[in-house]
Amino acid sequence: MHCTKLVYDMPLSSVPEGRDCVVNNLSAGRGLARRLAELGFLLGTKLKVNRSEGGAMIVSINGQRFALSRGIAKKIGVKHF
Amino acid sequence: MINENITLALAGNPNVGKTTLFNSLTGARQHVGNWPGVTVEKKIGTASHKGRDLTIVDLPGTYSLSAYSLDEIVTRDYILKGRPDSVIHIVDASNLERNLYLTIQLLELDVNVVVALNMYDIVKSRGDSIDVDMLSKNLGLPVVETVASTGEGVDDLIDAALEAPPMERFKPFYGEDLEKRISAVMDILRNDDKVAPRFPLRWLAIKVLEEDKEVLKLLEGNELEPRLRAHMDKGGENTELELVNRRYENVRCIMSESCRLSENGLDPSDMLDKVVTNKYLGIPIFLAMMWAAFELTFKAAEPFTIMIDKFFNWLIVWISNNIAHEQLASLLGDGIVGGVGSVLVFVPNIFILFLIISLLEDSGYLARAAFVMDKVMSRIGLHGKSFIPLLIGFGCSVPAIMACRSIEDSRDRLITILSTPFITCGARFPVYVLFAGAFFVGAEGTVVFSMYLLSMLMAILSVILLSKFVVKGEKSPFILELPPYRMPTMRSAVLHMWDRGKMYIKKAGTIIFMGAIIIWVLASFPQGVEYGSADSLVGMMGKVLEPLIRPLGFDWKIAVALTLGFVAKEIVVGSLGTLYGTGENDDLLRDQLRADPNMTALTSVGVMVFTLIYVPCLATVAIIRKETNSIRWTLFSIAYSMSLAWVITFVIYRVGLLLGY
Repeated sequence: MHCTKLVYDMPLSSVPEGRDCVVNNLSAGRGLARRLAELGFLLGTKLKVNRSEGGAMIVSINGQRFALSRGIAKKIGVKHF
Repeated sequence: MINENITLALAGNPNVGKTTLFNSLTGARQHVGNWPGVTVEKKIGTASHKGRDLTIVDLPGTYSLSAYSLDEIVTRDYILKGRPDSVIHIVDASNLERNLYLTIQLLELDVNVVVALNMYDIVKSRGDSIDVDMLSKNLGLPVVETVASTGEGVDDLIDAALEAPPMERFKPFYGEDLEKRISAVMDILRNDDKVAPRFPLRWLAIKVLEEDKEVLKLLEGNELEPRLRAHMDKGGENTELELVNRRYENVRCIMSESCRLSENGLDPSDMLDKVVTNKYLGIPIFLAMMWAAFELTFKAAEPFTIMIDKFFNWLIVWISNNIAHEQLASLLGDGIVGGVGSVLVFVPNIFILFLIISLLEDSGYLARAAFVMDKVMSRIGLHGKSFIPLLIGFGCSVPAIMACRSIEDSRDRLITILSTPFITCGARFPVYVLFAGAFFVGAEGTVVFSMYLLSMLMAILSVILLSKFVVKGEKSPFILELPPYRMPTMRSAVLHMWDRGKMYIKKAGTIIFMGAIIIWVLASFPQGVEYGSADSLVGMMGKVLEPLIRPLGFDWKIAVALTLGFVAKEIVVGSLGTLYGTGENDDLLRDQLRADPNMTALTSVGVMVFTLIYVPCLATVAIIRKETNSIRWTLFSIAYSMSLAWVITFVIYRVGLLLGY
């Protein structure tokens, strides 16, 4: 038997454009991790990657859009379906 | 009845209509921004409601009340120490979850809170609904629907803030484990009589567990510190995130009973974003917008500029014809009217540019432009947010430097403040026009455009130099909320334009006015000399300074013009008019410049480049002093731009000579 639905652990920065993912861990330093959580990047939150192409990314949480640098996106671990 | 003064504070996330509500309450001319972090200082206004005097305090927009940014500390300190009678919390109904996260924290500060439910129309248009009474009951706070832009519901809101019925307030629950730790810390804090009595106890306990740096600073050296430490260390780093999570759980619990929200469908903002932030289209669209903005600025301003110019020329003629006292007529005409007039001529340009920038900002595009520009900016060591002040710098450096307040990171902010003056402001434009028209007939446009290009290169060079050698440090993380696109309103854009542009008019009335009088005195005395000749004070000054700039190919006249230009760049043209004895007539001045054996096309390039780079004006120096709050950095800025100007002009002049120009 094979599992048809694969779940990957990866940084948000590697999620392709247009895909959804779920926040799995925040490996940023304390101040930044808290800020991200407060803006809504909570564990288990669904994110949609609107833009991802080299530079900064645009990610939306429940319709709220944020531009964030790739450096930050690397620190947000996600599961991606 | 005693008419006691009541203080209401406005708090809320950025972009929720807080400043709009402040304006409609107080009528104050304030900035309404669609750009996160517009209000950094708290603004105070007054209003009266049903015969009672109100003081309204507009607090900075914040997402939270941690000690993450200066904005949050300011807001929190004001609520704790300023003790407003009530806090009006403006909530964006279309983004309730994140907004209520702040409400939860306000509840813990033990102040009276009234919730203004703003932007409910957006919720309705999505087909969602919020049970306002239920929400109010669950929070234990009055909730009033408002439309900040039209003032709807504002009266009810103030009524609720003044006469709040007693309600049982919601008490956030953090789960068994955390609650036990909170109680334990509260028990320890109860023994303290220095710090604890000044704050709500439970709030203080939570902050201790969060290891909030401001609160820990207060408790430093306290005898209870070791016992508190033991409790902090128990949870490790996760406590802080756990608390955030639990607060959100509380929010969701409140919302589950009062809100019916559907999954978001296709948002028009997302569709616009698809185009505007596209990998290939993003930068061309941005450049097209900027080109259109500048084209429109110059085209739309031209008739006004001509009118103002004509008026001042007429005024100068009228003064010389109607005032018999020769010296007084000269002071009024050549000095004051000429000087102030040369500044006011640019008012239309600057105001129209600022109006366009305000419209772009209020529409939400400017935040996208920051995203698009981030790619370019991050190559030179800054992020997208720094691009906004640089853009405003094309109008006037003073509001541009003030706009740096929206940059949270102090390193980024300092670099941007020190580099913004290199952007060609409205005042440097006439210097280019004068020299391009004198020495590059037929190619004036190209020359002026090249100067603008050079100014952008200078700003970039400056950012690179500063971040490599002077203000070292890591680039700060870039997170910026992209607000939904909104139709900008003319009223708010005009208020915003005025807010930035008024500084320029103020400059004309104060610094330029004084500068014009000083120049006139220097050019007219000692008694009996020809106005602005080599024998006048200004001429003597030029002779003294000449050796300093001789290596750049400049003579004493240029030395004088550049020295006086330190007051403001506009004065360079006017003082050359004085020195060459041509007054306000620029065509005559061009002929005289061409006839001067000391002036060549190469030296004219030198003058333009030097003018571009060295200290823009006294007003800019003053604002750098104010915004950096440091004399050291202000002096650095002067020395830095002076030496860059000298070195670059020197290189251009010497290379030009070698090439045979």
